[in-house]
Amino acid sequence: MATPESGHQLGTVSDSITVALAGPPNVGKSTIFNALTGLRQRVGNWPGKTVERKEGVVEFGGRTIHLVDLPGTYALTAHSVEEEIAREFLLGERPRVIIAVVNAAALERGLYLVSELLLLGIPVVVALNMTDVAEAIGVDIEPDVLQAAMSVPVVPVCGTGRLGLDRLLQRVVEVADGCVQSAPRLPQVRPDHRQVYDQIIQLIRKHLRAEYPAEWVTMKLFEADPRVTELLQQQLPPETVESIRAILQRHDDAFWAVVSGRYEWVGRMVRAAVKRPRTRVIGWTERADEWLTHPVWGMLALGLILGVVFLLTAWVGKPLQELLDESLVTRTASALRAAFGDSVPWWGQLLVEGVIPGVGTVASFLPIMLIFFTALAVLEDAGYMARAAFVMDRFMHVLGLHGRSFLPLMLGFGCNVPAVLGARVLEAGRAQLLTILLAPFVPCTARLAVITVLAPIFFGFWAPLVAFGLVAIALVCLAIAGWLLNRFMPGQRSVLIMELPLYHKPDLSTVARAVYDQVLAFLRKAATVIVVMSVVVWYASTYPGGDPGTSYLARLGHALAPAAKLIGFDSRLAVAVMSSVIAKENAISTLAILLGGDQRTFADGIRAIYSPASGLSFLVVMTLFVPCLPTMVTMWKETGSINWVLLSAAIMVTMSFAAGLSAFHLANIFFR
Amino acid sequence: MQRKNSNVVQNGLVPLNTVGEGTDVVIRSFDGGHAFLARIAALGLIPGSEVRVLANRGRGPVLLHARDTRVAVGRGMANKILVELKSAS
Repeated sequence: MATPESGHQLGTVSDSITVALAGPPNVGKSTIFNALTGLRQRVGNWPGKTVERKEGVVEFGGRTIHLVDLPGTYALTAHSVEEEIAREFLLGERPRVIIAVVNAAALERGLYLVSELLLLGIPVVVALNMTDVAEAIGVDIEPDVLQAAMSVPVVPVCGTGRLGLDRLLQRVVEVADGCVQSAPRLPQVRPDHRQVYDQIIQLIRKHLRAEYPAEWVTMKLFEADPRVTELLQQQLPPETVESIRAILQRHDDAFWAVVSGRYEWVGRMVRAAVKRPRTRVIGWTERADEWLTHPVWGMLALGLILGVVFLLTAWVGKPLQELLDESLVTRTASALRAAFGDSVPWWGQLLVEGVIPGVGTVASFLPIMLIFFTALAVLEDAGYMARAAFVMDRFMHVLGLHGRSFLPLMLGFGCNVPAVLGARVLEAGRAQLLTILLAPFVPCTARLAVITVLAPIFFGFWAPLVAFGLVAIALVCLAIAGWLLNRFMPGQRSVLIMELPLYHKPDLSTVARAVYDQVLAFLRKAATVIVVMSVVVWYASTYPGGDPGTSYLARLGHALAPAAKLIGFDSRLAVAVMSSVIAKENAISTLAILLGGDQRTFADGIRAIYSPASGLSFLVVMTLFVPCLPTMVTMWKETGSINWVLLSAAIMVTMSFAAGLSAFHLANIFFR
Repeated sequence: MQRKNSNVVQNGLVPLNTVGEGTDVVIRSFDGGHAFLARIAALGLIPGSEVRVLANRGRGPVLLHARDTRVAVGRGMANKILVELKSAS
């Protein structure tokens, strides 16, 4: 293949080209995507799917490259939503070039996907990533030989160091402009099936529309691909479809003929390009996994690691939160109050009692989330979370989930919104839906904040124990709900099959990007709603008449009173719980408004009015009640159906009421 | 739908989940539909593939070394993969 390195003139035409970024998971694809696009990227969903779609723009040599990040997949079958999305995009939109990211340390995996991509008839440029990792484990790859063997451009890159990225873009532009003509060596079906292959491809060629390459369609027919079979029924005359079916029926191992044909191609490329055969080096991935995937030691290590994460979050995050809360909310509010003097206009009141506390609360949660999400992102990028998924798998099975649901659920301790969004790492389907429905059971920072404020008031010295118990109750309820949903939800149970990546030093920009996205998800969805809703709550608790005791909110409380009485609530506690639907931390401020008086007398006021039994019941209900509005909106968006949100809400209301009822009556027995 | 976990040796083949740690095996056949085959094939587990069982303890997933990477396969899935023992070390 002729690949003129310098002879190419950069096109003066400033047309934009669409380039797809493909690659299996764990190849550093998102690191490359981030390094290429920087902040010029947009994250959304593929239309109608719970799969993340990332797009970005790269300016290179006067050209605008529109980069679309495809879901990480090992192949292009029709059996997973991610793979279907990838191939529908490639065949439907026909990007000018596909960049296939390949991990040099796992060359076979990456080349398998390449062997599928090549048949689509779109030019492919291979980005050979992680050559340093490959060298460390004794694999030495010659990119030039690989390029010559495949007849496909290969560019060694290092996503973390931005090395080779310009050369990659240069090559992509050259290929897009047709300066590099390549006739890639394509994988063939196994020799014993070539004849059948030729027979079918001839039958197809006559009738097939141009956008589907006949070679690809034939291979997919061999694989019994349901979508392609459907497609042929639409485009081919019935008698041709019938004769194809008859041929395929005689060859029931056609599937393996295609797959082993691809692996034969992959094997040839690997043999050509890998200079030194891999010596079995026992790296520290092997050594660490001895312990970290062990059913006993692995669980212990997981507990220890998460314990450290939580302690770190509490020790560093909590004082920061209090500091922010103090300086942002209290100071600003009192400064404004002083500025207004005696006659506070209505908008001043709105500002001081509605907007500022709302904004302040959101802002003050930031340090906690930042620390928590950073810790989890570091663990994920270092490769540890896959091990956590591994050891948690057997427990998650009870809930109808598998190990990979563990990470999204963990994110829930920070905020339920990123937890629901985090379910995107799972394959779209039943396990993903279950994870989204169970995520709100994980007590988030805001709910834990309510607990840390109220538990000491009621239980003093025993508060930490009560808090721990509440978290335990939440997790037990999560398990019960998961078990129930799993029993009654239709659909196939999903199973775990995943690659455990090599451990490696976390890449700062990848971690920063993940944390940025998660915090932004919280800020964007929560901040707007929380701020608007704190104004609404303020309005409802002030009007009509300006007395919290006769306000709209109080009327709502009275309406709820009969049910509330059963669980030891008065109307004010009931209203506080209702207001927590908007944002969990509202429970405290609503209660403070309804009880009247200032911050200092809050604790004494509460103690004077409510028994510890009522307090316990309130905390239990708060922990288990429906998630906040932003979480529900996110669940709605991600599941695409309000019915799932309603189901989740119904389960949580029932469970919280039942748990509150038992807590109240049990506590009454013990405390009196 | 759930199959019984059988340790019965058939034609010298055993389910992957019954294989001890540190054993090299050759994958021979699968028991499952096309969706299952497609997933497993995409991760490089095809008839004739040589893999090593790295971890197989308790009721958790089975950890394999296959095609230069470590692959975790859920226990139920491993039960449907029939292998031939190569060596035990």
